[in-house]
Amino acid sequence: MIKIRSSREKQGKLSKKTKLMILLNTVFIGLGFGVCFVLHNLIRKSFGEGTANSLLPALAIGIASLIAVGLGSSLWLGYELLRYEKKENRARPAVPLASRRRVLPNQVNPEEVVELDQMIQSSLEQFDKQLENQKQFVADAIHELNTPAALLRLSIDSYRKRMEGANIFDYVFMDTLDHATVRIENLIKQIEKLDAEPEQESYTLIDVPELIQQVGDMVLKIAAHKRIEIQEEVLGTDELYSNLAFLQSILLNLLDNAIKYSPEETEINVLAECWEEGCKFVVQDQGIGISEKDLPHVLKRFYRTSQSRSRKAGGSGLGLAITDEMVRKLGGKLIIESELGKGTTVSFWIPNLKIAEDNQE
Amino acid sequence: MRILLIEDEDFFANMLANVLRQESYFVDIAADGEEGIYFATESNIDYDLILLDLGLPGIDGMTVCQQIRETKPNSRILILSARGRTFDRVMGLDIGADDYLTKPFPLEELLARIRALLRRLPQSATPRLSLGGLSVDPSNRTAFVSGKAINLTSTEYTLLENLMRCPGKIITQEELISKSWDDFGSTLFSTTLRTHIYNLRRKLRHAGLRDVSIKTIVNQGYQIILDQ
Repeated sequence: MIKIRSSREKQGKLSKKTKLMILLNTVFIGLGFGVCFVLHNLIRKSFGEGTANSLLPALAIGIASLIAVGLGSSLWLGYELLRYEKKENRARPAVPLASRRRVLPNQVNPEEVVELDQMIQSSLEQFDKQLENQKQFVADAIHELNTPAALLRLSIDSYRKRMEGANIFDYVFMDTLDHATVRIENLIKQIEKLDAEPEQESYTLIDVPELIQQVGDMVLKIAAHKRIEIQEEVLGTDELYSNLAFLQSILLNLLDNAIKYSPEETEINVLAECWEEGCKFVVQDQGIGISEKDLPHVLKRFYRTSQSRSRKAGGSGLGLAITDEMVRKLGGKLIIESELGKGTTVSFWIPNLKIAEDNQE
Repeated sequence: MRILLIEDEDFFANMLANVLRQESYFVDIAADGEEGIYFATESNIDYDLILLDLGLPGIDGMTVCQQIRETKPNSRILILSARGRTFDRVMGLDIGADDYLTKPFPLEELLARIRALLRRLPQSATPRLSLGGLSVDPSNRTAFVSGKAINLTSTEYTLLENLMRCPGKIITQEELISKSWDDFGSTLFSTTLRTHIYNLRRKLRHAGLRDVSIKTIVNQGYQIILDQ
């Protein structure tokens, strides 16, 4: 039997039916006694004490029936109230009647189960396809942006070539256009990098000390601007089989950030520790740090902390997200530890893919 | 130097052509692969460099590159493309391109790469062309009469150089026009060529040239010849 619960009950109010039942019960019981009493008196008056008393059993049965009905209704009411209390704490979304049909074990049709399974399978495949289509669409759209970006770049470059003798405002104007175009170009490059797979052929044997030194040299000038000292240290084995370009990008991104958010005359430590299974890299700074509130979100795309000056400097909030993606694409894991006002330590692990390949054979 | 630009994006093609013309290149534009292949292989113009965009409608850019390379193995082809993955660049170069530049690119880099490709041209190492008392230096586009440099406009010089490349040969008007202007001289008035030849003759005479003259062969064309 299907019971339809009214929404009133869910809100903690009693239904009309229940109220009615309570009322009726009270009335019944009251009536019962009342009628009995009146009848008894009437009979006493009309037929004398004797008749009244002989009729008493009949009256008694009558009263008893009425009380029974009353009690029965009360019990039913009580039961309903109990059931209502139990259900009060369950959140129940609106479910159509049809799906409430409960299939008892001995009524299950094996063919139906197979059919259901097939339906679920095809739904999942459709979802997968749709997701893939969407991803492809976004990737294509981003790629399309290269064409107008190329025209912008060409126009700006060619105009600047012929700008001799222009007034100062023209130079400022062209500089502004150039900066905006650079931002567009960088954004396109970053997003394309994020969606690209590191090509398998581009995995090589990397000389880790050389990598660290190379990366350090690249940021030397910017660091020198703020008189920040970069300390490098390489421990353990020297070699790592992975994607050099990705590793360079990852380290450069992290160093860039470290320098950007470190005050002058602080120190940045770059550490690489390698084993046969892979390498652990650490970039540690004494910068402004990341708050506890921001830390869990800082790797998300487009997330910007309140301390982030990125937008002014032309950033887009993609830096750490891309770095994280790249580490993941190389099969590794990235962890950030930070304390507001003290500094940030970014560590990431990169597996030695030669081992993985060898193990697969 | 004559460049063929095969690019379907109107704005981009025109902007690029203008820039290259500023650098004293002649530029012809083909709007799709078919046109590009035709200009590169079947028209009687020898392009010093072909700039090829890969994102073409109709025939695919890679196929165009392949075709041109097969038909004219000595062409110089520089691919311009938004497809920048290693895989794309390797494929482009293996299929026959001499260089590959990804869009967007800085203008100066494109110009430098063009210069690099044209360096290998035997033409750019061309020594002076001489005929009698007249000589031209293609590398800096100057003309000399009896050793003294004379003042010619760019068009006048081009006409002279084209005539000097085949002394004694009669060159038709059409050929001379297509060699001396780009866009196949499509906007030229019929008298323009005659006017320029007239001015050229005048300047040469004025500079003292006596043993060489530009002759008009009626119904056939022009000819530069050593006077007997």
